[in-house]
Order: sequence, then structure tokens, then C-alpha cells
Amino acid sequence: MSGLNALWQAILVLVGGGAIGFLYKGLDRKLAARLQGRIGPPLRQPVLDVVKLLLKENVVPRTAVPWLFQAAPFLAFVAAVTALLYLPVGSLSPVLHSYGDLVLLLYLLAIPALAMAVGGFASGSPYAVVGAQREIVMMMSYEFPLAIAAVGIAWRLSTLGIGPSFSLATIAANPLWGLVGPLGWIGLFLLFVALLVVTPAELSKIPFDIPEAETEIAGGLLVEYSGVNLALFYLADVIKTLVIAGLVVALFIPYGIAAPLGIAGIGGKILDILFFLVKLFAVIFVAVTVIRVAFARLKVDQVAKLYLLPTTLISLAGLLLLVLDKVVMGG
Amino acid sequence: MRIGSGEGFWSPIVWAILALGVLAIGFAIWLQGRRTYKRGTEQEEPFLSGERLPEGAGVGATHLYWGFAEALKPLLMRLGAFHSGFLGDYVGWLLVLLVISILVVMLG
Repeated sequence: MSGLNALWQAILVLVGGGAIGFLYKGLDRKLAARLQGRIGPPLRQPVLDVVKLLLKENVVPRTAVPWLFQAAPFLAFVAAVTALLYLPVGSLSPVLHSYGDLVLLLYLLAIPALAMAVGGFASGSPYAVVGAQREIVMMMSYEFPLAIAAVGIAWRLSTLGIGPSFSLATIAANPLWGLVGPLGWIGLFLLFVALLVVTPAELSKIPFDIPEAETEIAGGLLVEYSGVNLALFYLADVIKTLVIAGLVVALFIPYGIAAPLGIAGIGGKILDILFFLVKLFAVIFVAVTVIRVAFARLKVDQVAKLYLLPTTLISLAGLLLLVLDKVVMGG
Repeated sequence: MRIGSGEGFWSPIVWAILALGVLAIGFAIWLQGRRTYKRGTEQEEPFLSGERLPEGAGVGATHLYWGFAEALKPLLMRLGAFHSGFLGDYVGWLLVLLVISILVVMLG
């Protein structure tokens, strides 16, 4: 792949990703409102929110460590946006498929939450520090089941002689559902459930929005952020939502629609991209919109318990079933 | 340069170049925003629901572990019972876990 070609692809993915991210954010808010019997904001509201934030004052509190407080939004933004280029889109390999794998993507996904926590600690506000501490507790609770789900799939692929097994292009091109036996199928389903449960926490959405908890700690780790710094965190959240949904799709539902319909060429690729966007929306709707409407906010110990016990056990059971599947099916 | 382990790989240089490009985009957005505020006024005070933040006040780092401790209280209580205070017991646990780990690695 030539450098110029990669650059064009990267620009296309970043611009397209940004536009789709805003659209899905708007849809999420609209549908959540409809589920609650409200009319909801217009679809363009997320864009208007960012424009409004650009017009607001960008205050740095007296108690803050200024450079760290200002750097945190940039760190979140850079990590979320760069992660987009390591994701497969439809039947297309990731733009940087040769330069980063699933482990890199998991690290990049962790950085925005860490950056928010760092920004919260750096602000010196008690509310922000409480929110940042909650974010760290939540991360330490859900990262283990997330890692098990990702590593389990890569490990099973490697046992089948398919590699490089941590490459997202490889994972997306070789859906495990058709390669494993019944035990592996159940194991994969459990890992899928675990990842869906982790998704809203990765995005700090209700019922896992304890780091922000507006009604309790007034926005928590973001309480001191305003103006363009808050806008950068907002943009990072828009993109990260796409990335985590894209990861779920790549790991568990990477199927295209063009091949079964017998459509090849550029038309097939476009159809696969459209189908990929539908799958992204379905994941966001199920794991974010419906969940945040259906549940009330959990307490920090309830979140820790949920991820450290049942979710971890579900993911470990999924991994164990994949191991047993390897023993039974061989290879 | 690409760092690989056989199954996993990444290129720090490509990511760094990409990160610089995205940082430039972020900075361009940042420049579009309003960067001024009224320095040295009440605006700089951290929000505390209308209260003034006493000098030196803060949230202790030990609070970080409250969520964990509360969530895992039943487990921690049981684990606490194993703490006999005898060094021999701790070395025994270490040996048992080492043997289990070695067995897992060998069988795997």
C-alpha cells in the first residue's frame, strides 16, 4: 500500500467516522428520548453541542495542574481517533492493518478513560477526584473480562493455524462461529455477552456513568472542564463509541452481505460498508441506548462486583469452553 | 519499524506519526474555541456546590479502593481468615500456587 493511498484512506475513515459518530450520537439521544416518551433533541444536536462548547470560556481552575489539565483532552482525542484506523470497515481491512493489532486497539481504547481520570485528578476539584477514582475502579473491574474476550478469540484462531491471530484483519476475515464446535459456539456466545456488558462501562454510559454522575457529583471528573477542552472530550467520546462498537462487530459479527448475495466489485464493498454501519448501529442501540434507558445508575461497589464476579466468570467460562472445544475438536 | 511477537505486532513509529497528525487536528479545533476567561476571579474556584474549598482540602487516595473493598467484602473476609501471621504458612501458600502455576504451564 503506497503512502499516498494510505493517507487518502485514513482521511476518508477519519472524516466518515466523525460524521457517522455524530449521526449515531444524535440517533442515540433521539431514540433514548423516544423510549422514555419524550420527543428528544434533533439529530444534529451533538454538532450544535460542540459548536456551543467552542463559544464557551475555557476555564482552568485555580487548583489545577494547568499543563496536565489541558493535555488530558488532547490525549483522549488522539487515542480515540487513532484507534479508528486500526478497525476493519465492512469487508475492508483496517487502514493500518499491518501496523497494529487487537492488543494495540485495546490499549488505545483504555487511554481516553485514563486521560479523563488524569484530567480529573489534575483539576484539584474534590468532585473531579471522586469521579476520577471511580473511573479507575471501574476500569480495573471491566478490563479483565474485556481482555479475556479478546485474547480468547485470538488464541482459538492461533490453535486453528490461522494467523497472525491478533490481527484484526485476520479475526474479521475468519469468523470463529463457523470454525468451532458446539462447545466453542457456546463459549463464543458467553464472550459476546461479556463484551456487550463491558461496552456501556467502556463508554461510561448509564448505568455505569458513576465517574460523571451529574446528580451526585455534578459531572465528576469533567466538572471543571468547559469550552473547547470539554469539546475535545466530547469528540473523543463520539469516536470511542464507534470504535468499541466496531470492535464488537469485528470480533463477533464480522460477516458481510455482498458475498451471500453474489455482489462483487466496488458495489459489493459499498454494500458491505453499509451493512457494517447497520451492525454498528445495532450494537450501539442494544448495548448503549436500550441499556441506559432501562437501568438506573449503579453504585461504584455494585459496578465493581458486577464486573469482577459475574462478568469475569462468564468470560472465563467462555474461555474454558473454547479450550474444551479445542480438546474435543482438535486443531 | 514493526515490533512483532509472531501473533501480535505494532509499529510505534507509524502510530506516533499518526498521533502527531491527529494532535494537529485537535489543536486546530482547540484554536477555533474561545481560550479566554476572567483570570483571578471567582470563576477560577473549583465547583463545590457553592461552598468554598478549604485550603489543603482534598480527597484521599485511599478512597480509591473503597469500591473494590466493598464489592469484594465477602471474599476479602474469607481471605483475611487465612492470614495467620506465621511466615511458614505464607511460604506454604506461595509453594502451592507455584506448583499449580507450573502444572498449568506444563499441561498447556
